[in-house]
Amino acid sequence: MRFTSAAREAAAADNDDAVMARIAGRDAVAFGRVVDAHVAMLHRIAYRMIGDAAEAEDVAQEALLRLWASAERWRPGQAGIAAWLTRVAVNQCLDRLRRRRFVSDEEPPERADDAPGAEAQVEEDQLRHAARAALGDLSERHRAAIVLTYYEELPNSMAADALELNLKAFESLLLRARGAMRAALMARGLTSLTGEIAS
Amino acid sequence: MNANGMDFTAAERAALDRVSVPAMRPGFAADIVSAATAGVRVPPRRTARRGWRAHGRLLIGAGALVLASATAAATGWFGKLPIAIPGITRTVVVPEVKKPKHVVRREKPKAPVGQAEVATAVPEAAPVLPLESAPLPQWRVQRRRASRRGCR
Repeated sequence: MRFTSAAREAAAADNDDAVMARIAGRDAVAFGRVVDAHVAMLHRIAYRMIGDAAEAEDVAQEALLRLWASAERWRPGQAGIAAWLTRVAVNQCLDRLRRRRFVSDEEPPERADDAPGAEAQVEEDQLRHAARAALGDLSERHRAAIVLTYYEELPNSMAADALELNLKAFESLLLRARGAMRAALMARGLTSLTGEIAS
Repeated sequence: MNANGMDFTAAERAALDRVSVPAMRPGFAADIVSAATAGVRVPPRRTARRGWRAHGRLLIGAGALVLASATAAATGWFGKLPIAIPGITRTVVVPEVKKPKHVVRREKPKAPVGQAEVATAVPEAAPVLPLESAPLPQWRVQRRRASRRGCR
């Protein structure tokens, strides 16, 4: 029997409802499975949004603890656990970013030493640092749109839900975010007008 | 990469893919489960707000209450309450002033203007001055007399 995408989503939502019912009954095993399934995604989103590894762990932990605490208020039939956690994590990131600017905790790469291959490694580090800085150049909401759709490959509807926007508004935001991302990459010397890859 | 990523060029995707994420610390997931089962409380989302944003609603509410109270006191609304509020009612109560009696003023009927007076009025004769009494001719007469006297 072939499942359509909608049927799969409905089945997943039903499954999420069952899991949340178990978590509401304080089932630590069920909660552990949810943590294992989603903690890496939450950490990735938070790290790319905030740029700080320790703070990204705080965001992931807080989102999951919030799920545990509010499991009794879970309404069956709503968007799944992943969507709920993503929305909470994105909101936390936006809250934190409003209080302070994006600060990468990555150290700028030092100059190359004489070891073979070290120069290439430093150059790669410089490019990675520049890419992180270009992502940090975006506004919080533009960055969230890029992180959710490009890195996490979420469908627009789910990304819109995470940012608490309707689909049209999110698509407009995404369009502007892509433009800003292109401009930031170009400004950092990572791409050129001809599309050449900086190396 | 989903359809969203297809809008970036290969160069842009290569640059974006350089943004890697460091690994989480070992045992992080287990720590979260332990914290949850141990009853660690999650701080409310809005607690970190400071300054005006933290107290803005409270201040606006208090300001609105003060304004409403001042308006009510100024209009004497407290005095109309069935209960007396000590301090407020006494200070702002409007003293009862005897309502002035409305008196309709009747004016005396006036006599029709013009008719009776016209009937009884006697036209005065225009004053007729003697020739000598007129200043200029009198002066001339006196001057002639003086000149005659002088000629003699």
